[in-house]
Amino acid sequence: MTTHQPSHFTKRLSVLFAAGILLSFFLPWVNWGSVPVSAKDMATGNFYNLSETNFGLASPFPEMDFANAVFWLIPVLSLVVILLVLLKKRHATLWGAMAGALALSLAVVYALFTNELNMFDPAISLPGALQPAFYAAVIASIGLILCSWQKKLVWKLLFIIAPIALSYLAFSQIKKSQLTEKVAATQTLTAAYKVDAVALIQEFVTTDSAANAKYREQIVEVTGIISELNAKDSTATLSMADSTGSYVIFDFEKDQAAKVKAFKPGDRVAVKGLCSGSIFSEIMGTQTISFKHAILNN
Amino acid sequence: MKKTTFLFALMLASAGLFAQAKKTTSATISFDASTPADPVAKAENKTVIAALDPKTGIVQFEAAVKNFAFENKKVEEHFNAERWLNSEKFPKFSFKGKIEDPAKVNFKKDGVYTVSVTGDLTIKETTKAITAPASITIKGGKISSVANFTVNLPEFGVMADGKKIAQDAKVSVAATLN
Repeated sequence: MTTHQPSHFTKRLSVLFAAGILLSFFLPWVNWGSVPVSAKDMATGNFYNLSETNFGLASPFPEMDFANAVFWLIPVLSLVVILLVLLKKRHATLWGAMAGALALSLAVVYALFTNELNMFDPAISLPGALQPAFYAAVIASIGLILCSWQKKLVWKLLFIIAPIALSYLAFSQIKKSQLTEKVAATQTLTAAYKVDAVALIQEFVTTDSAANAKYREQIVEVTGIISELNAKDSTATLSMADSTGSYVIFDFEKDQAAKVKAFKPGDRVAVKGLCSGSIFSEIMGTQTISFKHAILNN
Repeated sequence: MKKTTFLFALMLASAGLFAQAKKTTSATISFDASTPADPVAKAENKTVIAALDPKTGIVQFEAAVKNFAFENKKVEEHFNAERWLNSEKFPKFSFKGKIEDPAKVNFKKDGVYTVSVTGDLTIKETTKAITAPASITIKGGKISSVANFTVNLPEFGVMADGKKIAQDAKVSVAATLN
């Protein structure tokens, strides 16, 4: 068995492409408005920090964020290729193909993700957001894969097409799952606080900013006397008021309407729901604390 | 003394006027900014405070932005985010207007009356004048009303690309007033 040495031209190209991938990894691939994002940001976990801070888009799988460290293999493998080709006079082989494939898969994710940001900032367009380092990384990745072996055309094509196709499919699947992801059923959630309705209203009336900071976006179980109840078909709301007229009101989940109808003003109930905080009503002249996705918790 | 009496009389008069308005704390606003590309940007808020004064024709509503309930978790998060409604900073939608032709409505007689309502809609502390057709139904002394209108979201500083989020959101306000 003979090992083919790469030609001078192939050797130079391999080193050039590997260096291109290595360098571009640390440069901005995309620009989200005024926020430059490099490939390194994905490897360090900063990618989703930036997307959450600037667009409210958190990592879809935060428990898997550690896996993003795999993208450090892009500069590491690129460096291995440079050393392999220069010192061992060999083709980049699998090392080069893997570096190129990883960079290509990341480039697809960056392009698709950036394209979605237009929804949050119409000034962001994909062609305008992609930076020179992005194009350099894509060209260098394809080039390096093509130079990785002397022949093996099928493998080369596979290492180019597979990461693009897999990244596209994975991204589409995640997007689809997010578009169909329902709000968690309140039944399955544990209440962060269990409070009496009048005491809760008093907290909001006394210092609404502190109470909002404490309860807003939290699942809260409230127990109190029904002051008003409206239920029809699949919708139901229920209020509990204090002596001043300030009140807490619950919008129930659809399957709760029939159960809510069984109660009447004056009954004592426990309701669990997602607190939306308070507003001061100019119309009623009172504090209104509202909840949604509520369920009876008697 | 005279001044105190006058102020007291003014307060009583104001309270009397206020008492005339029919109110509810469980009106519904339906919000639909969905597009064919993204059909999930729809929500309802069923805890809207609304009032209608049959004597003056003044119509008002207030809604807690955060209490719009979406079926989709991500869209509910985005709706409240800084670049959209920024509900932490601007927690309330409000409208104050008037029935343009209140004489068309006989609040003492059962029937369905079509009217036009004009007023100021405030979203994210931006106020714009809107006019919307409304239907008022009187039945057994109860007043129900429905108004449908569109809200151009960018005019109120709400990001909407027109592809995934409609720039003109359809809004429907329905209230049964007591």
